[in-house]
Amino acid sequence: MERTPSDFKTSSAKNIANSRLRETFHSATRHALEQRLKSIHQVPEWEQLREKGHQIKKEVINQLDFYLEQLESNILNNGGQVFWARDADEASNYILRLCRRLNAKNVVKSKSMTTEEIKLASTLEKQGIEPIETDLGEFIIQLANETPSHIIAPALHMTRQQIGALFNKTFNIPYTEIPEELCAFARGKLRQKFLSTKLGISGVNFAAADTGTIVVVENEGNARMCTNLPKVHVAIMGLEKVIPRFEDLSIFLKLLSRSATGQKQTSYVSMINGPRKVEDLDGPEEFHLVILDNGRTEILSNPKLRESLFCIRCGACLNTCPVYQRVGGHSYGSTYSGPIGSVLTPLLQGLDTAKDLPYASSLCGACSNICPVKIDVHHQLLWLREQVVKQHKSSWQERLAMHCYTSIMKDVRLYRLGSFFLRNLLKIFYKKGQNLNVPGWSKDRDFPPIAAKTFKELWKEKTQQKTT
Amino acid sequence: MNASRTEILGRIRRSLDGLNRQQAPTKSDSSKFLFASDFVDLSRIAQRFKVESNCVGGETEICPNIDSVFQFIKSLIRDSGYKNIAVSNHNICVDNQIIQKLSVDLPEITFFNENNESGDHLQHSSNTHRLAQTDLSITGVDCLIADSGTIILTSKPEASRQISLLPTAHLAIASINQIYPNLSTALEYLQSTWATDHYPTAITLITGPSRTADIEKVLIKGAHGPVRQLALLIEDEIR
Repeated sequence: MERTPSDFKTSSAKNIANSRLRETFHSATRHALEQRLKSIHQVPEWEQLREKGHQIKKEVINQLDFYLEQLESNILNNGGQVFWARDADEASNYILRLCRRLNAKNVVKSKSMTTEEIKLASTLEKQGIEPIETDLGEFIIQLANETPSHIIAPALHMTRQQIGALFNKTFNIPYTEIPEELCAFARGKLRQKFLSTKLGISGVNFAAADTGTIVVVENEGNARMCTNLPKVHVAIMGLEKVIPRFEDLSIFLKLLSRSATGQKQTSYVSMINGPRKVEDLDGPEEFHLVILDNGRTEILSNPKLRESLFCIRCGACLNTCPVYQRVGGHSYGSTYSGPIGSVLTPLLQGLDTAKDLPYASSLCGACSNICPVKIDVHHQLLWLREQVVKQHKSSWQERLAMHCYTSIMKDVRLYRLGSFFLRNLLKIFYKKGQNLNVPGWSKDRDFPPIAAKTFKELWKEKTQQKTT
Repeated sequence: MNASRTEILGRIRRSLDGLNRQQAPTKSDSSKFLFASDFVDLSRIAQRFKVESNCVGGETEICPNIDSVFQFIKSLIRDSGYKNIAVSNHNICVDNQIIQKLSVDLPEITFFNENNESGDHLQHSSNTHRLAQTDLSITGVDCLIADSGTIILTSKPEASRQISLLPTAHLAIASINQIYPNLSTALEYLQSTWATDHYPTAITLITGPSRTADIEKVLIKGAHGPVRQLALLIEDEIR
């Protein structure tokens, strides 16, 4: 099912109407927020830590060319190979060529939003190579032919019954909805793949420039399998994932695991310094790093939005966003959902298709408050809205309405006159005990009743009471 | 070097043109960026490790000496019904003759040492497939982190990367002298052991057993890696 950001209004309306999905997202995001809060209470200096993370990211983005070249040279020194990809096609084709050279019929993949972004799995599939998702959530949604609905928990939108039925149908196994049994089945199924596949693909959470170390953070152990067992390991990273120094990991690992899952430390952190050396007992014989641009240098050229490249993909802004909590990840129709997705998607794909996304926010600022690297997410959304309006992407009705509103708000007499008419007009339509039907507004929610007295009248009464 | 490299770097330089870019510093203060909450009572560092590892589903035992380590392992094997056991060549395993001593007391159990096989890729080697059938692996560690209950292993001739990954349970034996208070001090130690030609190709931080919460946020142990993650901390002065 291919969704695009231009479908945001219809998809989100559909998801809001689905009460089961709303309940799922509500409880899952609330749970994630509680876990995060618990783990952050153990770090009284959390705010300083965020500031430090912000400063390091700023340093790296302002010197991106320097750090990327340093990273490259250290990876080459460690015996790895580096490929720079301008866009999704270049990156996918490089991996495809590797598959061909190895004569690989399939590849094992660990969870990576970057591979989702370049649609690597579908490219490989079209060329006859089976991409095997090995993260449990990704494995499930791959079977269901879905896309991730959350950066951290891709199958968040599915119930255990749906997953049980899916396994039952796909693998012809007896139906079970017990999560432990479903997980054990997937473990056995994927273990065989890990032991026989020639190419492993992973994402990159951080890449330390000064040592040429790439870091993969996870809980399941599938990324360890993908990066250790196959003959060749390819890691793919957006070019903003570089960090200056190995020692900076102590800051970022703390920020990421606590913000993403509320863990002090995830079960596994793999730090990879290149392919196996002769004296090593195991490990891949080749290590390749793909450094992906795919629109990121375009974001970099915009001083107002450059900061969005600080993102470490923790998903905290999704969980805390009142819009995301209700509409779910799929409504956004893009790889990156939630507030940060509403900034990144228009920038990576263009405002034309994604012009609704900057409006998928109440501008409450919860995203900016929770961001572990202090990205000013909601102001970036506001700035993007300005671009939409400047490019006349808003409807003529909206522009007319805003024009009238501006004139009325500028003149106190006009304002009084306007509100007098509006109030009395609405009173005529309001029937006792009935909701007012306002097209576009009152389909899923009530229109608030008109107050008996205006603020001005109330104010007058209150001040008179005081004086008497 | 591909053509895209030049283009991407060019675009970055053009994008950042006009920005007041200072010379990139080579050293930061990240390692010194410690807070009061990073403080760990050094006299109770092993206890702290135990508490933290228990919180994430790991199992830690503080052992007064090497004899109690053997006692613990023997009852673990008997109670859990483990049949196949792999042992790394870490000093702590070799010097204490783990395999030799356990084999005497547990003759019905199969023990094996990891060995370096040449020739075919290791994925197809007997070592890998044997480890995949193994119930329990016993290794040493490079260091440990007290405030998160983490053990750190690096790839080296003494131990493979997969010995702590493929078996159903993994048990690490360490001296309490190997415990560092927090992540920054542990990373600093690791980096201090690197030389230009001698760096580990893989460093793995392990905190509790493999886990997932991908089905309705239900926490399940043993997604792909070990279902049980154990650590034995020896108080005695040993190497």
